[in-house]
Amino acid sequence: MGILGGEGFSLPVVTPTLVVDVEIEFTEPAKRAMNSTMSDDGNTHVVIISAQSGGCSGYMYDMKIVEDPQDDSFQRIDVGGMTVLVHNKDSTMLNGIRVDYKDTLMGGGFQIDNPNADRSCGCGQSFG
Amino acid sequence: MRTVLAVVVSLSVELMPLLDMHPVAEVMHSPCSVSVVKGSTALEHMNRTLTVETSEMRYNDRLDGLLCNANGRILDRLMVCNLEEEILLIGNYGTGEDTRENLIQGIPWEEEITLMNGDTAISHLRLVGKAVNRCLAGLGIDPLEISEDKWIEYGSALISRTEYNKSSVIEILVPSAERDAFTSLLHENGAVSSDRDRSEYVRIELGILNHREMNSAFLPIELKLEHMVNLDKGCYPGQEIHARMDSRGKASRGIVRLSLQSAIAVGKHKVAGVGNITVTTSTTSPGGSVALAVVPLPAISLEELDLGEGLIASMQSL
Repeated sequence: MGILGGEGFSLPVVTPTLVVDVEIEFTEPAKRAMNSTMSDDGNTHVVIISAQSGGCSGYMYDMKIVEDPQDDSFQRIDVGGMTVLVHNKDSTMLNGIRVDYKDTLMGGGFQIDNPNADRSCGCGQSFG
Repeated sequence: MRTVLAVVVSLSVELMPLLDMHPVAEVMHSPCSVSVVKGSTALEHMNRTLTVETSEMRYNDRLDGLLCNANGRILDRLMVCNLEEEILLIGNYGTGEDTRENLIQGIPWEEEITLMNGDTAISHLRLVGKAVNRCLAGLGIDPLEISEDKWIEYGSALISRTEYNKSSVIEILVPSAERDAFTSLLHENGAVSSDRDRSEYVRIELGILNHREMNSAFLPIELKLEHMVNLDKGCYPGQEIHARMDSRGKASRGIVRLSLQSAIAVGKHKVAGVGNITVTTSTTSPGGSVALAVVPLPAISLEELDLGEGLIASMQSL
């Protein structure tokens, strides 16, 4: 029997998650940039915006283009004909964000302004 | 009269004995929190969250890191043990719930990571003394096999070593159900058990920090825990603050050990000419009392601290 073979361990810990209806604002430059990145995949693929632990301020943003997972755990938002998904567990953290796109050599790319964040780090990649 | 008293006090400070280590070993129970993380990306998840680089950990590797908030202050100290399919986290006493919630909140949607509460399942023992190796050899353990960056298995127990103040401290993790039997085994090989006061005295003398120091009141640099912070690994909560302190300046205060002829209360004390000091723990010692305190940086170079009302503390850095 190893160190974990004894008694006293709990079942996996579950923390209750508050789910809210997510609203996201995309600026015109952000829509254009997303449209250009998606190219012909718009019918089969979606953009998932999520938050995960890490970064200087506690949570990091992540944006991925993936094949539509067809999963009810996500909320679907139509952005100019493209589909953006936000997982229910991230809904309170990401509700109300404004996604912009800056076409600059340094510090460019998608930028997220989050009204739920008490703080964000210098590079804008993380919030808390 | 005042001069004579000062001389007596000063002498008593100088004559205070150093830690009288047990001739063989003493076993101390170290209350802790225990969490188990499961999932194929568990190490990566820990790496995003802790102050140390966990992603390259191999089987039975040990790594001690900190969980900090965005202000760089300490939320928990975690001894990480990679058990391949599970990651065992030994945290400070009383921090388990908050640490587990912290870790769960940031699990990415596409990663299947689960956490379990093992606070009562595993016990943490420490073995300290002049001849801990003899005690270990009696158990059939080669002391040379015990290192600071690995856990070795001994039955159901895991054993590692930490150096504190030039003394080797043997860290033992054992299923709680087997704790008494394991302690008896150590007794049979010359060790004695320490009570709570003695354990606290040894902890202070060796500079072993626990939840009384490693909490959100302090930054790692203030507790001399820079070795648990890897500034090369990339972002983690608190990294911006830690990096700024490393590159632009030093902490404004630091931790010291105090030796006094009488007791000092835990908490904040205003010291004339020095400012506020924070005593995190205090206990009786053979020569009076000892304490750990965080003091303003300019005071750290002092040998003695005049706490007023005739109470003089000798100071040693950790």
